[in-house]
Amino acid sequence: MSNLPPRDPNPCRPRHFRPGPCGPEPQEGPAKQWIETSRTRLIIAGALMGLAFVVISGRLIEISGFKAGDARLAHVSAPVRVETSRADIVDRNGVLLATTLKAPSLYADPRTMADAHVDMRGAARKLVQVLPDLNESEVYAKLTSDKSFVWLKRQLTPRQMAQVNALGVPGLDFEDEEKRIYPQGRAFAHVVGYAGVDNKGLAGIERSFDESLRSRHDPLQLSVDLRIQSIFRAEIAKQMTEFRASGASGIVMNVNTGEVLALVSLPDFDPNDPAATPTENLFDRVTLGTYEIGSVFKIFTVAMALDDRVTTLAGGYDASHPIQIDRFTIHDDHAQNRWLSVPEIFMYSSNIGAAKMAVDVGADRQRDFLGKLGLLKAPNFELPEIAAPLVPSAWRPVNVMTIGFGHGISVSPLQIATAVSAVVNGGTLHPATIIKRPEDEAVPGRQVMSEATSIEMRKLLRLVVEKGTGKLAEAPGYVVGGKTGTAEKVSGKGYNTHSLISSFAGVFPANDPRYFIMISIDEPHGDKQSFGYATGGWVAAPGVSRSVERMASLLGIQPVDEDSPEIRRSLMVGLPSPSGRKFASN
Amino acid sequence: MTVIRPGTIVWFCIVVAVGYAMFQVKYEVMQQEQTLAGLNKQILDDREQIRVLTAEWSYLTRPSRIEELSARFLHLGNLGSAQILPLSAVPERADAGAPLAASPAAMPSATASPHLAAVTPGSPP
Repeated sequence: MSNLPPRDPNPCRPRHFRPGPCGPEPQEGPAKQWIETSRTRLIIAGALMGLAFVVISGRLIEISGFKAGDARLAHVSAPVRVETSRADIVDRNGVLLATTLKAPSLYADPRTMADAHVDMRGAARKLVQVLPDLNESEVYAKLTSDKSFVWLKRQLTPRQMAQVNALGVPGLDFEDEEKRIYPQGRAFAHVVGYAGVDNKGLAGIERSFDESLRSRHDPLQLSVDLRIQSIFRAEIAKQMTEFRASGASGIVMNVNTGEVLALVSLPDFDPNDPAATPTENLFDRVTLGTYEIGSVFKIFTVAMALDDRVTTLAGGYDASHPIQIDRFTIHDDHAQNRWLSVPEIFMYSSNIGAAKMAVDVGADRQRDFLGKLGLLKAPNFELPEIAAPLVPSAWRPVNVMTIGFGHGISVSPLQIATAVSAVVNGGTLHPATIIKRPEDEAVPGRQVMSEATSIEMRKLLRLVVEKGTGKLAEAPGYVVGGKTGTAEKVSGKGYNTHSLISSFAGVFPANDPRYFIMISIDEPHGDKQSFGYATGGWVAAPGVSRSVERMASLLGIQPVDEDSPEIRRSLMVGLPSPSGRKFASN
Repeated sequence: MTVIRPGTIVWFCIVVAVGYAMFQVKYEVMQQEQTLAGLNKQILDDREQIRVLTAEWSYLTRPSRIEELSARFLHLGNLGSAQILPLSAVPERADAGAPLAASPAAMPSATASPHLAAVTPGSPP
């Protein structure tokens, strides 16, 4: 600026041209002061601008250099996950039991179709060809209605959707809806349960884990095993058909963890279409049904007597005469009419012997013991269909006796499974669960009886299958042990001798129990094959035998030779022969 | 004629270059985002498809169906406990220790049967 020529050296300058403020500086006066102020302001403004640029540059460097991986900046990449309103349910091996799929629903826009001059009759005919469960005249009526939206069919399969698209009819469109699918159908009807159209769980796991299934993304893993379940269901169904029973149930449980591997209640239903079944089929006999289970209860009576040292395996009771108490007479179904040792009482299923044993233990200790085994109150289980047992309000002497052989108390098969597992596994009661237990976690449980009692009970259970009422439950190589039970169903104020619940509750392998298995057949009718008998030993035991034989290899149990010295020794029970009957002391 | 100083030219070029580069990057980012959205959509579709196929697989391999198919086509029975033996119960070979390939003499029938000879390890193809 200093090299500019002095003020107005040009005489030819136009009149209206006024020199700018950057002309030669006035040397003094108010003009100079004005220039100074302007300069200062310019510097301040420049500095502010510079500062702003520095801040922006700094931020740029920070973003591009140091925050490259910041997820906040990558907001454009949406989370890639199939969003469904309910998580899957899988079995212990990860096989799918329930899943949610997008199911397109077909609707029509009749106004658009009319505007496009669609041949409605032809369109209706084509639609019915692709979707045979639609009614052609109904579809035609819907298409000719003066509306802009009518549902034609809800929840189509992907194939049906493709076929409808291939028709090329204008004005038809789809809206995505969700459908809950149960690929295994009836196999897990009572375990998984079902969810309604609005995706609300209405039964089974779907109901009890409703909240959890809605919020989680990873599948919910149950403790059940599809392979075991389907074998078990098929074998129970076979027994049920053969003996023309009205129903049947069964449960397989891991005795060392309390995990349920299979849970069958027949008749069952298809969870994909629960409305198509009579409501009584929705009833879960294993958890919601309580039954006077009969002689199976002697397992607890004998275990209690042995654990309280009221008697020993060498002890016994006189079972030669029926007991008269109040208005009842207690007699034996397989009467031996003599003194019986404790193992004999168990293997011949003597009611008289069990009743006397229970009286020896006494009411308080009996109630206490059954309470410890979880038989007196509703179990804590994941399924919502849970029944509380029916227990006598006053524990009178007659109750002590009848409970000793499994009458006058109603419990669910689930409770029996949990309690018998504790009796055979060394005396630890593990709470039953249908959710897979993490392998690295300790299984909860509490000691309810001595290990010595538990080992004695294994021997007695094996004895029943080897020589007693449960011979038909034998599965070669798998050392099945168990107890039969046949109970008359309560009808009105008494018992109906012709409607029975016949059960077999067993464990395998008896020398080192790993699994509990129980089958109950409701109202069986004896046939030629069972010589007219409908008792647990004839009706339920063969089903257990076949189930064990088929499932043991899947459960990783190696068959053994039952006659090998080690197994014989581990299950040896001394049997006295007071009336000269021959019993090999094995 | 006003003289444009070289510094101004340099700054002008830089401004043009930066502006160009900025728009270039911007458009590239837009394009990449579009590709990304497309890929995500495709992944989502594939995953949805996988879900459908998993459900279908689970339905087709349900044990009751496999059992029925096996009965119809395979004529196999259930596995009995007598069919399962520990490894120790399998008798050892009489010529245990003699490697198959090294001693053709150990398999006299190998040369007799043309089918066997063809697959005897070590024989020239």
